[in-house]
Amino acid sequence: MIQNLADGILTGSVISLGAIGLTLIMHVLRFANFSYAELLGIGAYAALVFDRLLSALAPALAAAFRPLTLTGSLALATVLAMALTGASAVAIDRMVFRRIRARADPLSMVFASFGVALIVRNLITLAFGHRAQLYSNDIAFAEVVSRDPMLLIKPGQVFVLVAAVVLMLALHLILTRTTFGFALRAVAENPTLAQVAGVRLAAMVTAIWLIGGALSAAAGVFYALTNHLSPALGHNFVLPLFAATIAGGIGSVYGAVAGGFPVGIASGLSLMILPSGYTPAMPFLIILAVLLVRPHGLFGEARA
Amino acid sequence: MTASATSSATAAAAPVLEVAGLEAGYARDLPIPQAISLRLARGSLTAIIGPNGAGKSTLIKAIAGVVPVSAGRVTLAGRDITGIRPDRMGPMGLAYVPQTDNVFQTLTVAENLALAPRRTAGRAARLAELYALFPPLAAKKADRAGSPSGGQRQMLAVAMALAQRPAVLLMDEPSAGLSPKAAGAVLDLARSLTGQGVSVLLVE
Ligand SMILES: Nc1ncnc2c1ncn2[C@@H]1O[C@H](COP(=O)(O)OP(=O)(O)O)[C@@H](O)[C@H]1O
Ligand SMILES: [Mg+2]
Repeated sequence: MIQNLADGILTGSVISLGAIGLTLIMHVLRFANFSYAELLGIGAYAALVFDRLLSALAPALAAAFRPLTLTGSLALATVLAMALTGASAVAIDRMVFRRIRARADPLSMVFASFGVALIVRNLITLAFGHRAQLYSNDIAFAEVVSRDPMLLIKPGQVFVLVAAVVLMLALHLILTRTTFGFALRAVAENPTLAQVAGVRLAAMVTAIWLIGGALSAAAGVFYALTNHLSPALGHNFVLPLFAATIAGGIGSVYGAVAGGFPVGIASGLSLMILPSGYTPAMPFLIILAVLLVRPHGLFGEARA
Repeated sequence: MTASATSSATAAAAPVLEVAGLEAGYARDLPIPQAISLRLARGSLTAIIGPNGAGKSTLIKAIAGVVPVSAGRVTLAGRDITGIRPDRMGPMGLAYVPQTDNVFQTLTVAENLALAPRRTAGRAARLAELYALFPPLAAKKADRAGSPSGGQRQMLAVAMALAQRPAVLLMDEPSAGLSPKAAGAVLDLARSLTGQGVSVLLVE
């Protein structure tokens, strides 16, 4: 029970990080982006490549920060992967979504996003193969936090949770302390009024892709660090991310954070009573449960 | 809607805002305001009056760049501003207060106001001036903009427009839904702005 809860909280933090950009994109560009979760895969694999490069170039970086298996090179690689994934998100928008936005309806965007997801996933498979990979073959021993009830926690899991919370806090400070943050929240609430108030919408859309891509890359690395990498990494997060976004209220950053944890926890807890094959259904149950009580999501408001 | 209005006798000299043969709408081939022409003199107050659904809001949105213009021209101080992006209107000297949803409810009063003049010269001084002009806003800086009364929300919306130091201010039904006292205050404000050389176009 406690073990499933702890694992669920960890997954929840990854889902929350991933859902932040998705909720903004869905609200500002008004389309359900089924390719968004692939950014987690792009980030996770980009970090793998940067990590291998950095540790080859500077072997000193390859030492792990004990008790973590995290190495200096992977930490640096994660930062580089965040930048690269943000840039990829912007590039995909320029190449695909922005062109469709200019002439077609939102439904075309949804179909295009399915296509983008397929392309990204297959490119990753082509480059890295189907099999699962790890950043490090080092073994990190789990700490026995408690024996009855049994609770095992790996240092890496604690690190991931802390790092995810730090990233969310950093975003919170940007959103509430800077005029750039005000502009971002203004665009999320009412894009037309934001333009009337002097905000350049196109620049904000680019900023949202950059931020969303960077946070998704971190989410992907954090997931891979505590589990493993595979080309299906992004795909497996499509439903949890949508569930967190919808449950939290589309357009609300805080809703995405608040929605990610229950989705992760419900998936974790469901393992106790249901075969693991049913875990993917949990996000749907969360969406249903939240929308029954709050039709616009936890933090959503009724708006046109 | 088909109309022609000239604000005052002095407009003939050099209008600040000139709208000529404007047509705009939400669907192709279905212009809502048709062939509208008007001229605003510096420091004038002009009101557009018409029944509901006549297209007053659509006209004002077209001037502000929020609704696509299908024909005609909008000139501001001699410069053609027809259909430019709404975010470029402020720096050009034209500000617009929408009829509804004219403040960001999830932002605080202070955040709403800080947003508008991000690219205005002398930003801090401008904000101080606005808080002095609207003391109730200064008292509610930290409150969410969704919470103040209708009158204060309208005040904030006008302050956000003024933050951009406009030469022309477009206001869409600024007194709708306000108490008679608050409505009077908004109209007094519009009149006092004309005394400072601002041209006001309002829909009532
Ligand atoms: N966003 C919109 N999309 C399509 N039609 C609209 C929209 N807004 C207003 N209209 C239509 O345009 C016409 C004029 O509306 P509006 O300009 O709001 O009139 P007014 O402000 O004079 O009451 C109405 O028939 C209205 O139904
Ligand atoms: Mg109207």
